[in-house]
Amino acid sequence: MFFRFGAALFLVLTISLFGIALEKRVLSLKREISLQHYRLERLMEREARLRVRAAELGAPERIARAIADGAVDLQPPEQPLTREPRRAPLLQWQLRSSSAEPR
Amino acid sequence: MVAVWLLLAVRLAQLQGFHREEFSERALGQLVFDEPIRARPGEILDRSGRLLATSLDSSSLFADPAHIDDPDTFATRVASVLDLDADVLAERIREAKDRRFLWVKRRLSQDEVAAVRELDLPAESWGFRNEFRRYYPQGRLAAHVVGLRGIDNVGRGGVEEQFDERLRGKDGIRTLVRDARGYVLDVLEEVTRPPRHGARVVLTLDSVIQLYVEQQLDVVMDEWKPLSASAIVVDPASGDILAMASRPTYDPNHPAEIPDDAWRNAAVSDVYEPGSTIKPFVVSWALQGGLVQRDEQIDCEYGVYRMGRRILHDHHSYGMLSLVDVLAKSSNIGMAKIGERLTNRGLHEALTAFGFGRPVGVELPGEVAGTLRPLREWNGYSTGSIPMGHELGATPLQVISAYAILANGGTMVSPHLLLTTDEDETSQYVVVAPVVSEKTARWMVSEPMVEVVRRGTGRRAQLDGYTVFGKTGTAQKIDPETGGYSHDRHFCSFVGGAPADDPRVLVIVTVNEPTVGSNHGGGSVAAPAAAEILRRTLIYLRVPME
Repeated sequence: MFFRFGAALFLVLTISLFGIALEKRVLSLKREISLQHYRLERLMEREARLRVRAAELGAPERIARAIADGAVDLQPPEQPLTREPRRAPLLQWQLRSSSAEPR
Repeated sequence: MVAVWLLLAVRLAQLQGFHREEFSERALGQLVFDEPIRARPGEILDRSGRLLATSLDSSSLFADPAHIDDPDTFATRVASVLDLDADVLAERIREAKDRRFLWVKRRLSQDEVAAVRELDLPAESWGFRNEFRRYYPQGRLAAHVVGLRGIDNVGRGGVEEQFDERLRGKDGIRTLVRDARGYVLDVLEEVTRPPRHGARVVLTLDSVIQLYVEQQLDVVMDEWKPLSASAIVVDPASGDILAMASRPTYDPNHPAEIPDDAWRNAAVSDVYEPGSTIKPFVVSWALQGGLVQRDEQIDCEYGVYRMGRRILHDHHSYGMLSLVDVLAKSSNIGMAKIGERLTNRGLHEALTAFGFGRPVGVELPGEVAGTLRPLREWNGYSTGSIPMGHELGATPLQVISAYAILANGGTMVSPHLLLTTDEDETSQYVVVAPVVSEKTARWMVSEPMVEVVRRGTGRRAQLDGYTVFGKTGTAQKIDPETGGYSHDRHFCSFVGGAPADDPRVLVIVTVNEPTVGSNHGGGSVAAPAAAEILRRTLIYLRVPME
């Protein structure tokens, strides 16, 4: 009798503990999912900001202004297409040194 | 005792029976609530993937007026760091004292957010809410094409308005379970609806060509001080619009500073009498119908020609002119004689076939159809006026679309701005239709229109290394006081392209009413700018020199 009662109690206790562990696991996974959503949002925001920065740095207007102002040290082509003086677009022209970047 | 138990039983029945649903709903409402998951608006890119518009997270400040004891102090402190009027803010807080939410300022900068935090205001009286702020990294570049997205995430003007629904996306919903104190206990992932982020829209524009166009329009505005100006660059073979700009313009990053006259995109909404730029279409249609021959000589009557009760004049006195010279020298009398052969019906057919009188269908809001009156309203005057580009109104986009037909061997490929989206593959809508024969179109481009630039009115559009073809247009505007044509108000235009044997680029520049200088012809005002745009674009696209 005592053994049966003990076994039943043990069974109920085991199932309860298993249920609690399962519930905790579910909650922990849900927390992880929420965290992943948050991380994804942060990463998307970070990507957007980096893309903006890249767009600003590589903006045609900024580069064209730097070239027009002479802020970029350019080397003329050996065989220019025309005998015209330096006029945009300077497709065949190359940076004279790698350190010369638009300011 | 029995009465007390009876009373309790009745109350129990009332709560559990009659008001069961009402209380269940209230309990559920306190326990479960929906929180929106913001959809990130889509980006707008040029054809090379350069960013034209994107959305960044920003904080907006709100107040809880019910928890603000002293509106004046609160307003003074907040206004001092946010560049607001303290009195106005205090009044707004007082008016909303029974409410729990009031926007103070939206889309704050990082510095403003930090400044508000440093104020150390009572925690229950204010808060930040995250919102997306639209940002345009290229500033004024292609402002009229891109448009702008307002503070409530609604597109206004340009592609932002045209593709508003696609760009905006759709917010999702997350269902949360909270306790009596408002702490979140659980997220019901099984009923969560994820957001549909806005689609990425890729345009046919090329930012570099767009920059060339913007720079040349600035030069035109400085030199001629017109009311407005516009320019469009098109690849005639594909119909891709490579650049489109309008003046006056604006910076979409500062919507509050946009002047009223800058909102309009002149390239799709300026309706003007196209003047001489219409002549190649009339000649093409006459050639197509066998009503004139390519080697024909036309008597231009030494500058004076009577058509019924009307006397037509040419700017210069010409006798016999070849068909090529009628266009190269832009003889109105020569064109009127071709108009007589076509008759009004033929002229109407020609203009309709080349797309006048109806919108091009470009993906921009505010595109107008121009003016092409029904044939029944035409009279004898029209036979002389239409071939010289009077009695009809067209937009710059309509004119360049018609020229694209000739440059593309007589086949229309409707100009468009949308290259692709990441939403679906069938989003581009392009109409392809033959209008005139390839033989006629090629001859028009490589003979008369080349001569216009070589020795006619468009000489200032010549380029070293490329054979340019084109046509100038100088239309007199209506004088609002007299109702007749004004002698000092002009709408100048030049439309042309290169290379003539295989046109790769087509450009139109229109200048509305130059106010300085004396020679207001399309060849003087618009052609030099168009030539510089062509030169830069051809070199940029690595089109080999001849």
